[in-house]
Amino acid sequence: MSEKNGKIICRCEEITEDEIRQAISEGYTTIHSIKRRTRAGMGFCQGRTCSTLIQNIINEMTGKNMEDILPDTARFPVYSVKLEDLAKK
Amino acid sequence: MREIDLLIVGAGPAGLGAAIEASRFGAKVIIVDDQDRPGGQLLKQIHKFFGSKEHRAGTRGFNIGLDLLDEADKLGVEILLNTKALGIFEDNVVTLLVDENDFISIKAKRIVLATGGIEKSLSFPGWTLPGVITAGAAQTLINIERVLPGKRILMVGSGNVGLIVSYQLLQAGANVVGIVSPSIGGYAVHAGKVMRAGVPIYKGHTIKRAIGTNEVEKVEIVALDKERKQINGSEKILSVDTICLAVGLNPNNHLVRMVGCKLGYYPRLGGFIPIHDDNMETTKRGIYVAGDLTGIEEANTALDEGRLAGICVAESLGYLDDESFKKLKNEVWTRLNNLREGPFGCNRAIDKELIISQTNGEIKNPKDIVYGKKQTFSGDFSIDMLKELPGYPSDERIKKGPVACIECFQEIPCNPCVEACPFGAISINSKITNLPHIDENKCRGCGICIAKCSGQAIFLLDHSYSEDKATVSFPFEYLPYPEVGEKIIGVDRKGNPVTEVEVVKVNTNKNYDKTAIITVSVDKQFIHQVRFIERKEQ
Repeated sequence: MSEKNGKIICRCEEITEDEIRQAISEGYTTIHSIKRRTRAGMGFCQGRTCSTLIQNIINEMTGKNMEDILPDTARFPVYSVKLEDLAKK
Repeated sequence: MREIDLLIVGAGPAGLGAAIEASRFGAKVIIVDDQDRPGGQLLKQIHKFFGSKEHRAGTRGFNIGLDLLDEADKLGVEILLNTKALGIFEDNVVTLLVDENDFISIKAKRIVLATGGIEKSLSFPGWTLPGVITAGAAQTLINIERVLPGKRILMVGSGNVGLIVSYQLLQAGANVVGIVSPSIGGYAVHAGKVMRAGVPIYKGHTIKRAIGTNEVEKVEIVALDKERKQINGSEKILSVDTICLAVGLNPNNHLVRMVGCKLGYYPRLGGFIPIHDDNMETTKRGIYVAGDLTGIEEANTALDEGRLAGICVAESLGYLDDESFKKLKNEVWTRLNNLREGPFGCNRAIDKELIISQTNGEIKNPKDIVYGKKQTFSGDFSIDMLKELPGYPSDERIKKGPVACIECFQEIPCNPCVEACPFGAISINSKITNLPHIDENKCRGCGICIAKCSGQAIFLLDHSYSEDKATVSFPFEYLPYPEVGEKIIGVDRKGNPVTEVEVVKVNTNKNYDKTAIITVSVDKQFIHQVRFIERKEQ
């Protein structure tokens, strides 16, 4: 993974900074669309660590104001839950 | 489905404050917390807190936490641990996951969200190597789990968290090889504690990369220019086994986002914040917020915001009459406003006012807002500057005999020194952020204030000790204690060696709550320089 020149940004899904930058240059300039394009923020911690890092990269590359780079939609369940537990219920 | 007056998410200071106030007036309260012990970050705080008597300043944080838990328990507050709030639905139905196993639902008339903050990260080459941890993780390891994360540690960030955790790592027996930071953002008194202990603060530096094969072995740091760009050729390599990140926090806003509370962006408060009114109620009726979720501040502001939310919930449920409510609310707001005085708090006060005005729909033009200049500590202690302070006694007084010397030069909200003095020699007048003034004729040199000062910024000077020697007494919170008669190198405020000193007294009075007062004898000429002793390499 580190061979992808890879400073990792999203640790849960092992998405590198290069992949995030590539997505932004393709026109994906929101936390939401980058998540869908790259899977960054889709893992166990649900973007709790990487979303601010991604917000900074979007701001740096596009000049978009920080307050306009909104956090991703938060949905139930806001913590990761095992499918096994959900199925039990 | 179980029904309750108030459900609180988060059992830290904000959640406990809300629970105590609401239940005091008769509301039935449940707190849920995802951790296996309550108290949030409070129970990790082994240092003495700032603030006023009402905030129990001068008391160690974990003791404040334990007392809050005890109070909540006596009031019949139910705390569900290992319980995650997964979502909030119509009619305030909250879905909870208990012990990663059972789903339960509770319907609450009111909800207080006190979910705290999440530590920010920095991404640099090597940041995913084992050995790179956050300051909060380090603090949990040393103060809760009693495990040392490493022996040689670099701290990244010098806000209060970075400085306090560095100090606690030293106390735990680690060697903090340095603190890197563009500027010293935290209190000078916190910086002073680690500087005296010999920790270099690399001001105007940042981390460039972590080096190691399977774990952190070294770190490369680099100087920054005025635009905060890295200066080529200024790199330094330090040998470390742990890199600790203390680069700020974000509000933990997942639940407020899920439920659709309106957010505002307040970078000084940590990012996207649920806007709320002066009762701490969000744009979703019946859902209140408090603590770091509403802006990253200190534990004592979180506690008071929680209390405010609890009082407002009690009133909205009919447990409080209008007159008592107004009085109580006013009292909390007075305390909050006091805590947000001074150069460290004034911008938070401005942002809080903005948040409240946004909720009321009267949005101010951001261009009309004048923020105060952020105060940063230069990292230098000039003796001339210190001698000008209202807490530094005159040369004539120093020559007469033992006297307290208060080296407190930043306007931070704190006043335990005033209460500590049995002779009423220390005063700060009306504002809690004023610098302490010493009435040098009233001071008898008893030294009680030394241990009470949360910032460890008070020293006792005795110029009349003997023909050629003076003594300097200072607070000391490391083990082992030095021994009487021991000759050690005396150091200055930055940890630089000054001269050999002899330990003449080690005072471990129980009332000082584990802050020892060490007295050393020095040649009279060094009475203004020596402030600590050289620490042995761990």
